[in-house]
Amino acid sequence: MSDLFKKELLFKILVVGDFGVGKTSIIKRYAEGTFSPKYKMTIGADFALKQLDWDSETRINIQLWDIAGHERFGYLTSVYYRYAVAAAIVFDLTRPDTFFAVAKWLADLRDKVSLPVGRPLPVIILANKGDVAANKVPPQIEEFCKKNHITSWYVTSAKENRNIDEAMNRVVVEVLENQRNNNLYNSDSVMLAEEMHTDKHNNGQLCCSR
Amino acid sequence: MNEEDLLKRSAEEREKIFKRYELGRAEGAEIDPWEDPDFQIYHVTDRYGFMHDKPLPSKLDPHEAKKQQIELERIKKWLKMLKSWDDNEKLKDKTHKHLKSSEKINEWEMVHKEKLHRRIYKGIPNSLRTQVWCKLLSIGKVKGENKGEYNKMLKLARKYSTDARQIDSDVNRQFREHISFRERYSTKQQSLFNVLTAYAMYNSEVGYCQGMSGLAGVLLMYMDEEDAFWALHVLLSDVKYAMHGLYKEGFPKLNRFLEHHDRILTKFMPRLKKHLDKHGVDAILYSLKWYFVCFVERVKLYKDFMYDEDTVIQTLERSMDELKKAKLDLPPPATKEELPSRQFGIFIEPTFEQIVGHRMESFTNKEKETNEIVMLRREAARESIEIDNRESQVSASDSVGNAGTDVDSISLSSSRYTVDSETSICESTSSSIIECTRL
Repeated sequence: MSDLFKKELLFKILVVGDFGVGKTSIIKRYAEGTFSPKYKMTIGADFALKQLDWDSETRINIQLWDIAGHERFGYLTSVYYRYAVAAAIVFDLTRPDTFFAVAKWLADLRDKVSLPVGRPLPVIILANKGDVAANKVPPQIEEFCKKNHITSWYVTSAKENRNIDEAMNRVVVEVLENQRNNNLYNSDSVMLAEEMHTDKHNNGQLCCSR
Repeated sequence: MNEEDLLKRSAEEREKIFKRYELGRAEGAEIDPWEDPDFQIYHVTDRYGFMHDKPLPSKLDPHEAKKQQIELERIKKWLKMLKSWDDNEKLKDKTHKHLKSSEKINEWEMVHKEKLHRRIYKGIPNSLRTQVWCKLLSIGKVKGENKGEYNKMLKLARKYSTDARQIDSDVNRQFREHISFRERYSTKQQSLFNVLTAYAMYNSEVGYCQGMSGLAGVLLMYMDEEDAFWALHVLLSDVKYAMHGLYKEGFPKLNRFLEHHDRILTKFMPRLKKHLDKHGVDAILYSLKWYFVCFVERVKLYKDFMYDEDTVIQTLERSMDELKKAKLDLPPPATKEELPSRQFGIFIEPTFEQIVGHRMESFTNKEKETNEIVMLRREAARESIEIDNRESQVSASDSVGNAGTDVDSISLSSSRYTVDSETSICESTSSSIIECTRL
């Protein structure tokens, strides 16, 4: 199967945000297409995989890292963030405080994850639980994004499958752009992808040149 | 919002959460329909209270039948042992006033220790778990010494708890597939909320940390609220279990265990370790949950584990022997920082940030310090083992090879048991926490 694709990439994407905002639900919806109100709390971190046939030449394996929102796990985040190429910060439209925490999660990410050539980590913001009526998006969000070089934010609903694919596609576009612009093919994530590629073909027919 | 408004809002939020739990499911309870179990779905509950998606077979398969038969036999033996245990305790109470009873007790424990261990390994009969756990954890004694304390903590929590938000969120997600925790604000959900908020006040050094809800949840499957509170306390504070250091800020005990885990891996499965290191797979990524919830929801054993089958125990014993030979059977002793240092039950005024529930802007010095120590220590452990390996390669390459095979054989035999991170467990759920940490 993978022979059909010239390129096989592996992206590690983080999903962060305060506890109970719906990170696990978003990931399950995206990776498995299901929703259940009965998800358990995430202790430490979990991850899920999603394969995207991006175009006729490229297959992208997305590793979604579900990072526990519990504050005490905070100092462990550096372990989980390693090798990430992008992140989604989730907040809960029904709990305004979780929006204020977005700034802290962003600072934590920017502080701990650096991409080669110093480009900032691509980040999107997901305003989750958009299915619950009468929840207004905080008006400051536009300004916040502009100030922090965040190109997009989405109102999502894991329950009703709203905007999740769209948002994740946007992240992937940003990661690809990032890599193209900087010719960052020696970044860690692509190294992993190359290895996968070589493992499968044995002859090291690489998708890109160093 | 100014500070005053924020404080007001937090007080209102806390008030709201507590009120909902106090009301429980009584009339007027506001429960979002999807916070509650779906009655349309047909569930069947196993004998531990866990519900399964598929109906359980109406007739026991021979394997299960035999297992239950053996358990019935075990109950007889256990009852006898419990009786003698009880008598001994009574004797201790009677003689407590005028003579040193410690010798007599030791005698009983000496005689029965091995038997007790062996029987615990084989599995405490489910119907006797409550009794046995309470004995192992000396709940009666601890509770007696702290009369009124639990109620005091409940009241304090009601007024000042800063962990209520996180605990509320976790109670809503803990053991929802269990019959007692299934309904929102059910009696056991109320108890779980109470135990955790009260304990966060009682042990202010730890407060509340995720993982504790799993622990308290299992205890509540077998105990009432106050007993579960003290059982949780014994598990955290007694040096025998010392889970305090697992949950407190900086996780010192977790770090010590991870280090030890790394050491074993480096020694016995160096290639695997190298491979994991190469891909940045730190042990914490996969093992955090083992330690934090004592394998609750991690391993499912009840399906295949035969009560009269000793393969698991034998394999574990064999592996322990190998580890002993390599002097890796035990992690280094606990450091002082892992043990409780603050007095229990002392009220500490929460800070503005704690009340409002803002995430702290940066890591505390304690966290940073622990983080650094851990990194350094782990690096050192790795180096020392590598040197060790190089030195022993010439002289003992054979024994290392054998040891490796042994460790592999554990995974082989354990792979016969279904490992399923999603499904809840009964046998291992209950047996692991008290029974394994003790042994």
